[in-house]
Amino acid sequence: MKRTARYHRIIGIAASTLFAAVTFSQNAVADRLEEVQKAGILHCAVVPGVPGYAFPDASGKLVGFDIELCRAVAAAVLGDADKVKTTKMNLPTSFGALQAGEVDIITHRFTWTFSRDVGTGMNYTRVMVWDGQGFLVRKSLGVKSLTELGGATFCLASGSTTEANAADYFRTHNMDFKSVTFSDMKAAAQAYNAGRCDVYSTDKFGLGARRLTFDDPSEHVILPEVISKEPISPMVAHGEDHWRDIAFWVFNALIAAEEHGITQANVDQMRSSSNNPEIQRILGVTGKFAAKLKLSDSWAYDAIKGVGNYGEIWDRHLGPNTKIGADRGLNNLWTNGGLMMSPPFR
Amino acid sequence: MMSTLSRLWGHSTTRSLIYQSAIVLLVSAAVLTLIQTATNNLQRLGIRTGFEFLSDEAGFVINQALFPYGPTSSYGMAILVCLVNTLILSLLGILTSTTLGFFVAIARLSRNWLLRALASAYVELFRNVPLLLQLFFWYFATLRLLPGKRESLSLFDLIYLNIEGLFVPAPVFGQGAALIAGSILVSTVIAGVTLKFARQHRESTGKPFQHARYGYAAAVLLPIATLAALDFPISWDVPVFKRFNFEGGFALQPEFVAMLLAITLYNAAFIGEIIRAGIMSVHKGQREAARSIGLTAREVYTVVIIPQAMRLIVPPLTNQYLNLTKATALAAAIGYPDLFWAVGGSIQAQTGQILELQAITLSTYLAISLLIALLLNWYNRATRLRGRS
Repeated sequence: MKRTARYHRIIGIAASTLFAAVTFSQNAVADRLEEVQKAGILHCAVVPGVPGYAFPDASGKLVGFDIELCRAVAAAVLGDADKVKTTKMNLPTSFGALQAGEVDIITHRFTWTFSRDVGTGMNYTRVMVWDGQGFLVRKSLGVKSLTELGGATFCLASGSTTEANAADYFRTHNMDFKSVTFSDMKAAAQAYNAGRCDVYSTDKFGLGARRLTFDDPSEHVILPEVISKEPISPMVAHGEDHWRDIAFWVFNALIAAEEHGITQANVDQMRSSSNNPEIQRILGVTGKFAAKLKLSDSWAYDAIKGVGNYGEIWDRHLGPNTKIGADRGLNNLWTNGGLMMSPPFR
Repeated sequence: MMSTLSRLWGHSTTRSLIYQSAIVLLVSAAVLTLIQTATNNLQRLGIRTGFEFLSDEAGFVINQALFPYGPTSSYGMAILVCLVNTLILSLLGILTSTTLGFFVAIARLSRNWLLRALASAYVELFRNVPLLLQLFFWYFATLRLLPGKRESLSLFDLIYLNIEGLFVPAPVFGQGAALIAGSILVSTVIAGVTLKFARQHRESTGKPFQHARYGYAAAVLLPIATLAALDFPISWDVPVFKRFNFEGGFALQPEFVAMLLAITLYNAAFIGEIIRAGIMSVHKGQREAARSIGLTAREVYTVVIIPQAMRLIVPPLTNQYLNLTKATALAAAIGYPDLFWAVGGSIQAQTGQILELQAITLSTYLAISLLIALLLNWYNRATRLRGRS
């Protein structure tokens, strides 16, 4: 009797192993769009804890630029910007989740680099923020420029490009470089705040917001140098070409909308009365763009209606009236001397 | 026919054979499916596989490297440097937590009420708060307690303590360093042989060995003589304050100290209880018998109680050591560069070789754990009571 019980147990284990194997084998998604529409919800991976991008508001809900990008795609695909499920992840796990198909898109601010793009099972969609790595120091150090920081200790977060960029910069300038690297951005900032390091470094737009969390924000100053290019782009899984097209053109629509003055407030009026042919094509009044993306005619309308155009998203989360107070600089439209340009809707 | 089948089924050997083959088949099918799926997915996603990336340039800095490492070193080298950091932390953690745990056990068994109460409070507090929280607490508490860089504490202008760590002079060996190392080795052997011979002499004759002191003197004098003969070829690299901090010498970082402190205090609480249980398992008749033949209180412990208690202590202690070693993987949270810090953090994010890196991490921790288990099992077998299994 005892023996039979043991066999039953072993058979149970074997059966569950088999079950797990079958479950895992369903990762290969034939068509991401179909999957998302069937589920009725868009799964986005975000890395919380970056003010302005994905940070809990007073009620504990994550808000920010990254969240809006997720909502824009959900609005275009599902007709409702609220049909999102944001999964909080850290940097390495989000790559794994995307590769395994557990999430549909990563909207965290990951820098577009060669080694992350090629051969890693992920594809970038389009640059949504042009950032660069900046540096924060205590005023009392009396440092005016990065070139005076040889031998200083840096507090950094691992898994970002920040670490390697800084090491490269100091190596090329023949300066000694020391760093303490934390798995979490918040811990790195806290350690700097406690005085462990001379310098805190991350992408420039993150520095201003982080400074506000320090004991005495006025004690710290951001150095003028920016040592790297940080093109920030959402990511989708490699091989899902159609899904990538959708994400790419939803983001383009947000930028084109700003160019054409389409806002969250006037999008209805624009759809009914604008006689600009490109606006008509974007908003699905004329043309068959929606059908080619296998989306409903109102895809771009829904996205703009849901989150506003690119400039509106920027102003809401990163602009001068926010805590981040970021200057748009390179993120201006190409018509204003920036790099933001949507390919034509033609 | 039917009856033959049911007779076969009724035969327990046949039945177990059928069960076992069914299970083997099921499990192999499951494993094959998993491998097949993984291969398909890798191909579908166009993921680069293999371990060639280990020779690529790592590009990041490691703030505690015991052998030469720089940003131009390879990923493989970075993993090695960080593995050594894991091993140092585990080994020291095992030593310190065992020592502290032993005293905690003694205090818990003490007749002094205050000592007993303090030890109990310690155990309950530290084993019931999650290790990660303790880690953050010790790290940020340490940082807040240490003086700022410009207010460094100094000892004879040789040793300095500030928020970036403890800076001590490091010896720099000049010409003839190998000779000095050799002479130290030789004197250790001399001392060991003398000690052993003296003990044998005492045990066989009952008298102390008169000439032992010559042996010890030789052991002490030999390295000194060697140093003198070579004109003291050791210089000291003394830490000096540069623009931002002390440079030169050897630096003990606050991340390491906080890690060691946290895992020591956490694990000593468990180890204390394990040792206490072991000591209490020795029948009180043993203690009484030991006292009655005139052993001192210390001898009762060292000769009678502890050796018997060890048999009960070692198996759960092995588990605790394994837990401690695996828990060092939390180090990345406070910036101590251990194995998981490197593999789970920068290397994974820079290369995206998740499967390979997971394989490296898993197999390395497995190897360390198996090694610890092997050593302690070996010790356990060597010390078990003969005649019992």
